Amino acid sequence: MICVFQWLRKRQKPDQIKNLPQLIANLKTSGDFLHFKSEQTGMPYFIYYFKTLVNEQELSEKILAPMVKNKVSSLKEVKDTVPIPGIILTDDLSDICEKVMIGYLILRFNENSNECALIPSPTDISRKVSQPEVEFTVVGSKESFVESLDKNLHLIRKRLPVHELKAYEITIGKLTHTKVAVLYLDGITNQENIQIVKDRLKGIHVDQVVDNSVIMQLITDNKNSPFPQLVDTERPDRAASVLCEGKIVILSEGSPQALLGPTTFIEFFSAFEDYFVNWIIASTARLIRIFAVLFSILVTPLYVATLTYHYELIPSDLLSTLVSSRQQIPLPPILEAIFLELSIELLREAGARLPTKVGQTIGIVGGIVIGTASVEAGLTSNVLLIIVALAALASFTTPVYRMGNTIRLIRFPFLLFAHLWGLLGVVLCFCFLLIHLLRLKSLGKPFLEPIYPLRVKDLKDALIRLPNKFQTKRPIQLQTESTVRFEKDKNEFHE
Amino acid sequence: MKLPVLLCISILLLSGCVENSVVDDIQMVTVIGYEKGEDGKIKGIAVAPQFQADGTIQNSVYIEEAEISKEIRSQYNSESPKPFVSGKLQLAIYSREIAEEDGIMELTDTLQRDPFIGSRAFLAISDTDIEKMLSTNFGNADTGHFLHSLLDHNSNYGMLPKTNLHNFFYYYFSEGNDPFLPLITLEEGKVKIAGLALLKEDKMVAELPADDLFTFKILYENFSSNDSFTTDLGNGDHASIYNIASKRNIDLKMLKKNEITIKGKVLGVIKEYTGEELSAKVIDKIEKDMEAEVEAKGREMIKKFQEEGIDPLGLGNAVRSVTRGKFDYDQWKDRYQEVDIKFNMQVVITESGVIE
Repeated sequence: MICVFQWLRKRQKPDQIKNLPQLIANLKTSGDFLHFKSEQTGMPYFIYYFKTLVNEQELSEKILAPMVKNKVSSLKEVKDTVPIPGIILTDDLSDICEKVMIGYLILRFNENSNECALIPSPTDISRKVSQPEVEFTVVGSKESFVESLDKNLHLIRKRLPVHELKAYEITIGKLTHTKVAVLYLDGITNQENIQIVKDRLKGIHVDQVVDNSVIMQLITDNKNSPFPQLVDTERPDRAASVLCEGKIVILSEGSPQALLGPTTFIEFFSAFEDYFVNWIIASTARLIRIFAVLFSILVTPLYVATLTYHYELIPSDLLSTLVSSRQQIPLPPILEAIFLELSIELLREAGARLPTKVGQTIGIVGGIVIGTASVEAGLTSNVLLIIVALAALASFTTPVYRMGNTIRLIRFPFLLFAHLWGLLGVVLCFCFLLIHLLRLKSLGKPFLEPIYPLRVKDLKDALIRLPNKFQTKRPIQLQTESTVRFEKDKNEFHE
Repeated sequence: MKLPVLLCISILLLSGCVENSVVDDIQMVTVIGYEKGEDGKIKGIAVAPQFQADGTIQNSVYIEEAEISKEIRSQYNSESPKPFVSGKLQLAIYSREIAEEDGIMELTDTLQRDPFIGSRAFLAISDTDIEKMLSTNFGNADTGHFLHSLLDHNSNYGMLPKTNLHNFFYYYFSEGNDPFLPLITLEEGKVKIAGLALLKEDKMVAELPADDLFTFKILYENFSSNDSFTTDLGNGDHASIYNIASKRNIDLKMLKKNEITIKGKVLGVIKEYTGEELSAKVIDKIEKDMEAEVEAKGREMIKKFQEEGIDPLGLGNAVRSVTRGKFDYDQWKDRYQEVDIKFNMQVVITESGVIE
């Protein structure tokens, strides 16, 4: 690894390039690097740029037109004439090299001097702000983050027009030079948390950062845990909302997802839509989701454990249904369950890899052909088919996609333990899971909060969401500098 | 690194020790019956349901004879393609012969010691041939479950007092109680509750006919039932009372004067009346008649219990509960037959229908 870095470092600081003409000669080896000399009488000037990075319309209208009109003859005059802010006059080679790669064009009068003007005129070919697809809500904002950091920042600043909103920027990635922004509210967000994020970001030395997910993996507390320890969202309103709570938001160039932290386990089961609906409905939805997760993890292992070891637990009325559905099946419950669980995983994976239109046929193949046929062929019992299908369905209720993946994965060790030691094994495995969760941290803060450590005040927005009048304080978890969100007395809650 | 290695080793070593019983690879006995066999042996009749893939249930009946009951089980295994398990046992039936002559404790003990058997399993005594009873098919049903439901709903909503394995052992071992078990018979292919078998220690000494169950239940416990009670008004008219809720109270205040009063209070609704008009006077008469009828039966029953020296009502236990210091059970047993046990009934008709 170290050799590669040293090699990269050598590549980035080319020893042989000592002056601007040499740099330009080097850049000219790329096919999309354009250069031309002005036809202007008097002082001729040279323009160099990457046509794929520069907005050529702006170049002719805002740069060339005024220059021709005013007959510019020096770099100083360029800065005064061209109506574009941010023009730099420099002779620093590394600066020139860096800027030309992000959409600046080089303008100079003397072909042998290092002196030149750098005029910013970058093209913007990013997608327009569109509807959220993963976290779509029927009510509420229909904007989602896009691949441009500036647009994403705009979407958040639009929602939080206060000067306390700070964006600390850092560039990560030896080759990708990805701009990463850490957003927080000054005077609210805990300084220690901000420092942790900054330090961890500074500690990243990789060649490429393709997405925010990479950053998430690199700064996460326990890298060997299947559980995500930072929430990712594509909703700017959610990002703005957690900023107000005192959380930190991490955005990066080229990624339509924001990372939110420090977070808790429970937050992965709260959808942002919970805040758009009445607290009773929101609380019910959250409880259903928590139930769905437990159901999804435990139901197949419980089936395996009960049918393998604990026949006496099955109610007499259910016994005949269960036994007669298993009568023709040659496989023990564990193989039957693994067979079905794997086929569901296969279907999901195939559906995720295929284009949308082909994906629809996968549903038909999975639902009808594999399900019905395996029951008819006597490979699985129809009771288990229902159970596995329900468990899969339940795992899709998790609002954060990453958590859904984790939940589907941790079912398998449970199955193994259920087969080996029955209910005792399930309990044992649950203990392991609980111990793991208790040890987890999100940006140094306990992950299972407010359940453990028990913070009763934070339960107001955890398993259930209490009405607004109870939400006057920020979560204790975040150790915010200012704890009061708003004063209850000043609100008229019409009681 | 240590933990995963330990985990793998423990999985490999420990999982071999666990004996599994996959639900379709075992023979689940749901009802077992004991009769007297030849040469002093015990005949055990076990029924295990066979659930077929098409949803039908067939009952396999296994009959074996042996010296002791545990030996019977190993003989069953030699006949069956799948191992026998006892975890779904719902009912154990003893023949009247065994219950009267040998006592049932010896055979019941194994049920108590087996941790797989639930304490809510029923025990019953059969008046008729058990082999015939258990060989009968009761529709597309598992015989054990069928018989269990029969006893279960009758003790929950009917006139049968609550009995199960736990109650039996409680009454058997505790001071001041004597156990009783339901008495069942097979009549024309149908199983019927014929009454109550009253036990002294573990031997059956007396029985109550089915008609007396209502009175016994009033004396024995608080209950509410959907069954009806019919009273004869003497002039050819009958009244049927249902939706009965009964409360029993044992008054031990006069214990020093050797007197115990059992007070029963019954609330009921008149469902059927054969006479002309149901006036307040008639309702009053119905109440009085029913009180007299139940009281007479109850007093007779209590007298019978005292003569036999059995205490299925748990009066000894009630006395023990108000005794300070150590309760001398042997002394109480001597005293029991002399105690003047009174029985007072109060019947309240709460509704008499809307027909005018």
